[in-house]
Amino acid sequence: MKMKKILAMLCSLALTMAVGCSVPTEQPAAQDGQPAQTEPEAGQTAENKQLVIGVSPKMIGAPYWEYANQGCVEAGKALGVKVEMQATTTASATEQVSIIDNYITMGVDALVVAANDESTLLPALKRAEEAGIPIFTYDSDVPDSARLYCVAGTGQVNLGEIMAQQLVEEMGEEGEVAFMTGSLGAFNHNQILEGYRNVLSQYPGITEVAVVESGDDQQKAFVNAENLLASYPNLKGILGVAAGETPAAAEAVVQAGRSGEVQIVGVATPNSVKQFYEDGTLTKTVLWDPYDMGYIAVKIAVDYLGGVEPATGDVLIDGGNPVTIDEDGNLYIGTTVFTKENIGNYDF
Amino acid sequence: MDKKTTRTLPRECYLLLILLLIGFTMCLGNPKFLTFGNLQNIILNNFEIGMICVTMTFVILMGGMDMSVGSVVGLCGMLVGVLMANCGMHPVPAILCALLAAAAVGALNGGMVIAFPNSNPMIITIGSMVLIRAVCRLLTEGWPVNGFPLSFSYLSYSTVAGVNCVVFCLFITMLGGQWFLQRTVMGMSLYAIGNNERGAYFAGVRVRRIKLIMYILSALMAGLAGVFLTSRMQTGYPDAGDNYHMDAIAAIVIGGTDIAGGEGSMMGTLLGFFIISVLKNGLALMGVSSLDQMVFTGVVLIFTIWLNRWQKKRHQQKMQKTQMQ
Amino acid sequence: MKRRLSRYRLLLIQREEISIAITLVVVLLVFGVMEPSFLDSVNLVRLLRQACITAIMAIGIVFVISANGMDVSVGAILAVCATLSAQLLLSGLPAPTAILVSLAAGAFMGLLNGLIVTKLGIKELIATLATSYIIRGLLLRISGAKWLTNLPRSFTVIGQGSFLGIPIPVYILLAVTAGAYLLSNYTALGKQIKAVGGNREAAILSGVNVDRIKILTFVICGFCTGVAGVVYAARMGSVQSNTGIGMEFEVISATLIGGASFNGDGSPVGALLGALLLSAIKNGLVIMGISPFMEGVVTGLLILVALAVNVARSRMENAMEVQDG
Repeated sequence: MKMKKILAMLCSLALTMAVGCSVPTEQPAAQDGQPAQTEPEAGQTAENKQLVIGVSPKMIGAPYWEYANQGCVEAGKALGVKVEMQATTTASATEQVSIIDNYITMGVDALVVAANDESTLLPALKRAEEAGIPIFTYDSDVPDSARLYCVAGTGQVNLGEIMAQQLVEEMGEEGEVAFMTGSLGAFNHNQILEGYRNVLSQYPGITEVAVVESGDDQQKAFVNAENLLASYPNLKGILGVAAGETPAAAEAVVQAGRSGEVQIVGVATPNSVKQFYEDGTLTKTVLWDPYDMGYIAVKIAVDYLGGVEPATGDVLIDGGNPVTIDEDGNLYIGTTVFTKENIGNYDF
Repeated sequence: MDKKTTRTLPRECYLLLILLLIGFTMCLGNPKFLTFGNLQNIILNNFEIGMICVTMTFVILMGGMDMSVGSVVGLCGMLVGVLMANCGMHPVPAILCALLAAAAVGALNGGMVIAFPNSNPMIITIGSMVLIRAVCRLLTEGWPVNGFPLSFSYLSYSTVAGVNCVVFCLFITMLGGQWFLQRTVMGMSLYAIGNNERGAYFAGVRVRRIKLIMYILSALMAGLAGVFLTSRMQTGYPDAGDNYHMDAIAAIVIGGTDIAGGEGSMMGTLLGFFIISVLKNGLALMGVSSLDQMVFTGVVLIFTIWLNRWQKKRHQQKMQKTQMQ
Repeated sequence: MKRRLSRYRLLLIQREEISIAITLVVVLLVFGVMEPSFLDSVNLVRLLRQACITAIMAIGIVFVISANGMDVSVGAILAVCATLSAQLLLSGLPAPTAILVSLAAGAFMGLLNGLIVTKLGIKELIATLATSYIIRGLLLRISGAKWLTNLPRSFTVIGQGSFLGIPIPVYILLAVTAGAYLLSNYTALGKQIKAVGGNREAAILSGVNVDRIKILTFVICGFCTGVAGVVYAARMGSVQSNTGIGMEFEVISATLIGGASFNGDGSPVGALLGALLLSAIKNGLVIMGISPFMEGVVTGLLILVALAVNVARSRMENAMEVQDG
């Protein structure tokens, strides 16, 4: 028992020491911006300290994100800044909050975030704002936060409308359609769904029969697709919201022997769907270059710290398109429609 | 007092040493680790698991197991969300309803464990885990819930003397747990039940009643954690609390508690919890990639548990030596 | 007359597989009545094919569970074996070699699990939790989390092809089941595994090397998971390193529904039937247009029902022994 008392005392002593010798700041929410962003040059501060950009993608592991993350890291190397990249293998919003809090503690100079869930990240981004850290989003926005710019391929609602229109051209104006989405909480995915519905509601002969979610997990998406094909034998169209959905849907359709009966349109990286163009399972998919997206997201953060803001018409990456920026701070890098003819030209 | 009583350090000392060592390394890795804000973050981000660890320790000590705590976290988080955001209920009755539901789950778990005394509680609680997780998803067909009143966020963001209330909450709960185990009859009887259930029964311990209470308590705590989590995230998730049962078990086992029951302490659980949380946070601050973090955590788990066993063996050997003299 | 009746009752009670087989048939009939297209041959074939991977893993893990163990690293092992086979194929190795290497890898990881549990003395649940972290972290680190696509047709035919109208994975499943059945019922090893689970002390006293048995159960489980990994890669046609997350509990659920318990109950056929039942339910819910989230509810209930049946069975068994004795 005596030992236990000594132990308890030691514990409290350790804790007090820890708190005591900590830097006497207040809560992280009230951390006033440390003097890091004065007079910076390319990648450096006045005191010649390397800039640190905290990047928080939705996840690691999925191919789309591997390319995007590569873009972020390469931007860091090219611009001479340090890129912190942390994420989990599942698209978890709760973990993302911890990651952002850690970045705030580390005192990153800018935050670049692709939000798994906009309402969950809002309080965390508020804390970042109060700590004086400029925020940039990419891929999936948190529009209610203090973020300065959001980098995306194009407006997500617009994207949804384009894809839905494409599907109608291929499947006709009548039939059952299902949506396969990545995450029901992700802002960008929901925007795309909104776009789909905007267009499809104009065709009374088309009914939306299901919305299924995969949690950005390829395996789940595949099973979802199989189930859709099984429960809706008259299904004529599938719209894939996220880059993991479309190849999974295509694979399921091929294995069910319904290529050509069920039309699929969606977002997908070319490498993951090349083989489906040959037998005609897919005819058109859309995407922006995720590598470019990641690269540009980091670049505008670094530029901003250097006092330069992006403008419409800038070309922010070698070989890229000129960007357009709208009044809400959305920065669009442009999309590509992949068809049988041009898909061989792309390697991502 | 026999002068030759064995004097080995209690297990908790080794754990404290490991914790301090890890903390020290993390400090070297990134001095910002030791800031007040970060230390508070460590507790904030792992608060729910910490709370669950306390009641899970009770359950494991008595030889049981509750794998459904993660699902109950999700259930109560969703219930509170649905009631408040979708039905417009005031926070207080919504929270009470959610806790009531949690208690019901706990009662069911406990009831089944008592009704099937020869079955492994792990199986029973895996069954309820799967069931409740499905109910979570059914509530809103998988959609997260948001649109909470501002007052709800005060639960996890209010502060006292500059420190978030949640920190106090955790320490009070853990110290309360320690007090319960060491100073109350029911607490001490948990050890008895875990060690030798029949013996405890014949010695007059009301085993069935205590088991039921512990399972209800475990679910209640998970429900409370779920409410806190939703308040912190301002969103109700069907998948919330997904792996919490394993995280809690890991912390408890590192703390020296035997998974078969009968041996362990709340202090150990506290230290185990902090070892894992500090490790996670420190590695992240050092910029260690999440992949390497996983590997680290696994290795540390194995090492610390092995250390526990080694220490236990040594202790036993010394005890035997003394007895033979 | 009385004698014959009691012999049938004996059969019903002693062979746990019978009760689950009956449940399976009942479920199939009920679904078939509610939605005739369920019993369509196309659908039944699909049901079988969808069950294969879970079933193969369940058959492997039933050995671990009936020896009073646990393995939550099977998802990670699946991911490694699937990725490894895909990677080797894409590097130009012929299919048989790639497959053999993956199977060996699965068995090897099982061996590691077994060694950590026996030599380091860490309890199975925690040990396999730790190894699952380590394995996943290393896998992602080494494979770079790339998506491996365009696997050669000669390989994917294993997962997607059919022979005489029956999918090839089903043949693989039958082969695995047959092998496991023989191992479990006709070899000394099988009996020893059951002994270790049923009554560990008695097993030790009868000269069974418990450590060796435990290691072997993990190796069997790892091997079967390796087989499942190869089939998985072949079936999906492409592999993402992120696979298998969360599969552990699905596989364990199938085994529990199939009648396994930690006390030595459990047989490969039971595990197979359990996995088939799960697949039938999943499939049936989809066909009938019921919310897919109900699947978890039904699974959870089934686990509890299976438990209750187990208990009832052993009670009747005991009662009958007293009667005959």
